[in-house]
Amino acid sequence: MRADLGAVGADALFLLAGYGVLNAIGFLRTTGADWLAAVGISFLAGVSWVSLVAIALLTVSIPLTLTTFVALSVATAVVGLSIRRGWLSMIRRRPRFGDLRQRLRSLPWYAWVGFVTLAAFGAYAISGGFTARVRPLDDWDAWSIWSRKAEMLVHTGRLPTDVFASSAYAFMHPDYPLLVPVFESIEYRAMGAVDTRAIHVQFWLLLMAFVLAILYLGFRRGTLLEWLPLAVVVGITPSVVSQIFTAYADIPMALLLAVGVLLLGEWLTRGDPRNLAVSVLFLAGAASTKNEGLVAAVIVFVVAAIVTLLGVRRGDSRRLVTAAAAFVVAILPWRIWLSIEGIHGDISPRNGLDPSYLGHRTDRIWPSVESLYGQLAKGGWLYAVPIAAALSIVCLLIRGRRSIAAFYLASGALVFAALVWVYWISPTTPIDAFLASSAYRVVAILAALSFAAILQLPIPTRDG
Amino acid sequence: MLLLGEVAAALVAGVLAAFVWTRKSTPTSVARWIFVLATVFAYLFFWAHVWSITDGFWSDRSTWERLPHGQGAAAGAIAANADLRVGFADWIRRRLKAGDSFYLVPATARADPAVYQWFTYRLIPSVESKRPDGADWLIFYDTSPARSGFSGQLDGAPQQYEPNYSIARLRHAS
Repeated sequence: MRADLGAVGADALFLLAGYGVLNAIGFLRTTGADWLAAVGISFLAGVSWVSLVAIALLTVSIPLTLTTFVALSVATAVVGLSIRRGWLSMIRRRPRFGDLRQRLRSLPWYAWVGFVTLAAFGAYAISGGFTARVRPLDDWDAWSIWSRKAEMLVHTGRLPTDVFASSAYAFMHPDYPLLVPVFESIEYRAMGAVDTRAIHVQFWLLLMAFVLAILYLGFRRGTLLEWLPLAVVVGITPSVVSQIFTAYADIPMALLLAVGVLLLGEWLTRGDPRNLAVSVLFLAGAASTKNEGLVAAVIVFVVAAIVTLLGVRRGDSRRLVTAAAAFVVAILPWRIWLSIEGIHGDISPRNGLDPSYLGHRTDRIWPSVESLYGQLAKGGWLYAVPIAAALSIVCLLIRGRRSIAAFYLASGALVFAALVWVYWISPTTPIDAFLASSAYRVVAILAALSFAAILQLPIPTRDG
Repeated sequence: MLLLGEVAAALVAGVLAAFVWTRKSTPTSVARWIFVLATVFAYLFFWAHVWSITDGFWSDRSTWERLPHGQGAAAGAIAANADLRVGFADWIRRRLKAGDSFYLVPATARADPAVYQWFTYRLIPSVESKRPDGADWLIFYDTSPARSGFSGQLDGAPQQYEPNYSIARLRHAS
């Protein structure tokens, strides 16, 4: 019981913190419907924000306890909600149900299909939650990497340098970013015990929050009904569902990345700086979840900069530089801590630039390309990558869509190349076994980019 | 080449749909129709699978909820190596104080990723020492103190879980 109630309490605080952050940015509109619809994106924003700050605090030896978490969430909510007080007006305003009835009557038939789908999805989401509640933590990396670090944080409240820097624990990849362990440790503390079964509910919740976040972004963009089937289908996509239940970090990273890239794309097409600000929060979250997330976030920033300089948003490059600086500030504490403690991973980027090192390992390139390519063509990701590629190619021919299509095509190609490069320089052998155990997961980044592209490329916003 | 074929199929489908419905195949209408087809595919996939996946959830739940607490907690180890002595790790957990360090003996146990990683995971917050002489406890996994050459360095008699599975304090341990 405590495990469930405690986790609900922690989730409510993440949500409050998320509302605070989004309100401070001015992202939320001041209507009750808007705030209600923003529950998913606010939860994800809260998880991202609180975890990023908690990681920064941990690196300067400030312990992560339940008190720290509560103080951080409440402070974020209070400050964020006081910066802009427009939301107070929606409390005073009475909801107009007369209008609502009128609007329901005038809805097109496909809106009703959408509502029925949403209702079925609600039942599905609840069933998934009940199943997640009892699932044992039996996938290797889930206990050996992610939950291990979370449990260390629960027991010590600090980053145990002796463990992270010890060669006896090199297998747990001490250099991996810490967002998932921090998130899990907060939930464990709130549960009052390390409940490795109940933790799956939290991963499930991240996925459900993502679906709601996409629906919200569609709602504020005026494309809710168009986005609805694509949003809900993510929640039942075979590769997503099977992987979210493993409690690995790949899918949480991909979810944050998808929202971040979508908002960055929205900024590129519409120029609203609030989209850019929220995008930074999500991209920093993705970069703090997995190293692949960091690579992808850097790539999309670089491509966005090129598109900004060459395309229609030329005057906005200063904003993008500020955003990139905020991103660097968000991810830097963990990188500085790793450097000070002399902790590094098994993949050395320096080797990746050494021609003689690369030259001796060229036999790893083709199997990597083949394996990653094969994963993208399989049906597990519901053909998101080929559909996105087709859309990008067509949109290159449309005036006004060219920049955004180039953004997605270039980002996707560079992310694919970066993944091949990582396999090329990785010391792990044999390559076939390495690919078999990881390629199916790391392509989640490309699926995330593709998903954002499919949503954004073909239909402009209602307001243009 | 499969992926390129899928990209081409999506393009052809978009061109055909745009032509059939609007009698023109401009890039804008093709993009719109690829999107429409993607949403139709999403709806079809959703309705074709939502109930079977939901049903699968409930059947998984009924299997998992029958798992006893201990077995559920050790599921990771069992999945990694069915022969792993998970009971031994839990037995040690009750004997080590938080923060005690340990060293797994013999080298073959440390070289077995499933054994090594499971014991270092299950014994958190106790930490594996890099060297045996830096540890508070020695853990004998599928060996005995005598066979592993540590019998002369122990502080008292080893505590035995079962034959060849025991723990002992080192004489000079803090």
